[in-house]
Amino acid sequence: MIDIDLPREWLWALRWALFLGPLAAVLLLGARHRHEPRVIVGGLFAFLFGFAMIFATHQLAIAAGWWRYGGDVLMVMGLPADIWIGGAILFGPVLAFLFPTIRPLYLVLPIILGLHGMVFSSLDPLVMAGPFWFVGVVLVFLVAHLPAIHLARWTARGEHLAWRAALLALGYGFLAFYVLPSVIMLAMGGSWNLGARPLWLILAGLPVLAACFVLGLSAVQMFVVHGEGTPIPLDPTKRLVRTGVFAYLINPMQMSSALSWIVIGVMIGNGWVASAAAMAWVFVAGMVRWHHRHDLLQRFPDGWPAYRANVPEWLPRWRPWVPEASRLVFDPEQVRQAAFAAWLYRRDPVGLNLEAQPGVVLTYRDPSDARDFTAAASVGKALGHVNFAYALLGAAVLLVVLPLRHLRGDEAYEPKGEPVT
Amino acid sequence: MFRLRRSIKLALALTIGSGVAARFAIMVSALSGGDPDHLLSFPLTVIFPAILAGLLLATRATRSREGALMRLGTIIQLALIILLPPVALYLALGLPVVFLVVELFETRLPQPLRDPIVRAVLA
Repeated sequence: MIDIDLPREWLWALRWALFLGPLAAVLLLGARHRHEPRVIVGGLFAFLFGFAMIFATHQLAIAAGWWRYGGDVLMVMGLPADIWIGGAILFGPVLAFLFPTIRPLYLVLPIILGLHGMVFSSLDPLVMAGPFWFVGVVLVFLVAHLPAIHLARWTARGEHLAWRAALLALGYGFLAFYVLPSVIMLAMGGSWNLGARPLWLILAGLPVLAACFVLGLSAVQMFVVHGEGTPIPLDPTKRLVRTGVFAYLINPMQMSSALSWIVIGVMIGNGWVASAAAMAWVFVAGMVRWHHRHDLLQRFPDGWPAYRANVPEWLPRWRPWVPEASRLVFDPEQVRQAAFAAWLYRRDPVGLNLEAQPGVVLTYRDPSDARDFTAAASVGKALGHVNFAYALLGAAVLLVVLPLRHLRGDEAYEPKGEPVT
Repeated sequence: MFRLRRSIKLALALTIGSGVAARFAIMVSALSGGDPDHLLSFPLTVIFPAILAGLLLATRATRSREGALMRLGTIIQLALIILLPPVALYLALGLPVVFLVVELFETRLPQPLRDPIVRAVLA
């Protein structure tokens, strides 16, 4: 390991280089890929993911004493913003653009072992290494850099949609509910000191926050499952998504974000963080409506106007808007299936036909969708036809069941029964 | 297709260039007084927004009028970030307001007022 004392001017130059080097590289490499929009979008996603996760992992490293940064210029909770952004550019789009075929793990291993291992403890007072700093470096690479490069690559190639959407949701979650409130508190004052807040308030806030997250995450899942795309318009869906939580409101993700900011603001006692909800409204009013007019209306001229006319933007409908009835096929001889069908029937589900067929696995079939949902997934889908509260419950079920099935391989673990006719 | 008028682009480029020059002068002055803070913050708070503004100025025409106006609003916001360092963080956090202003301009401003303004800035 190299352990030298660098002159102060060299450290200034290093700090410039750590930001401007990646910036120059991404501009040059981006220009080379300017006719490949998916590559550029992949690079942008990698940057945003890395931006969020570098901040989160560095906060953990600083709190654990693995390292800390010196100086007080451009500091955001102990992390220099220029080094943070430079790192997100370098270990995201730059490496993804520069080495498009090398496995990301092989790409980052030499950097972890070589660059960090050799010089990390020589950068005092820019960064001061503490005990176990190497564990922290490995964590940052595993949680932030490695997934960021994968995200860029998968987006560029249009593969691993579910993983892509999961990484985007994770990155957005940290960006919106950790990085943004932190920056707001840097500007307006406040801290994450939850210990100073009443315990009952935290305990009351957590389930509300969970419900908000279910709403937002379910919207992402519906985009993947029914739209075959991600929620980000740069990597859009192939089909108009009107099912699940989208049958109740047009902007579930923005609604989820706005409510979450309010809840987080109340929990930490910071009105400025809560007022970020207003920014969500500003974003919808300024950007999302424009996107609706210039993208969704153009791509889905038949479906979008009717959907827009029947479903509100913000305040959810209590009962869903379902343009085309779906089917729930159940086995009347199976007690639990029959009981669930009877329970649903009593609640008069909107746009859901209940059909008895002996020998089948409980199956939900949407006429606009090629795939069926079976067993627990069909319960989650069917609940979406009752009312908004049950739709959230069904969304929570689907958020657990569908990723588990995806992880285990859909076909192999699909429940077996008579084919639904 | 909609693009910024050349005169508008030139005015914006001059404003941003002046801002960069002023910030550079402040940095040199501070450094000669032994204060490296302006030097250390220069890449992120001056060079970065200037490059972003430059990229937006150099991009091709947009398909929609709102798109071109949003681009103009963002460039102005970036210019303000360079020119007004004490409020740069607030300006960066308030970037979505640019899109709201454009939306309100396009949907709420009376056409007799809106069209001459648009003609003055867009080609």
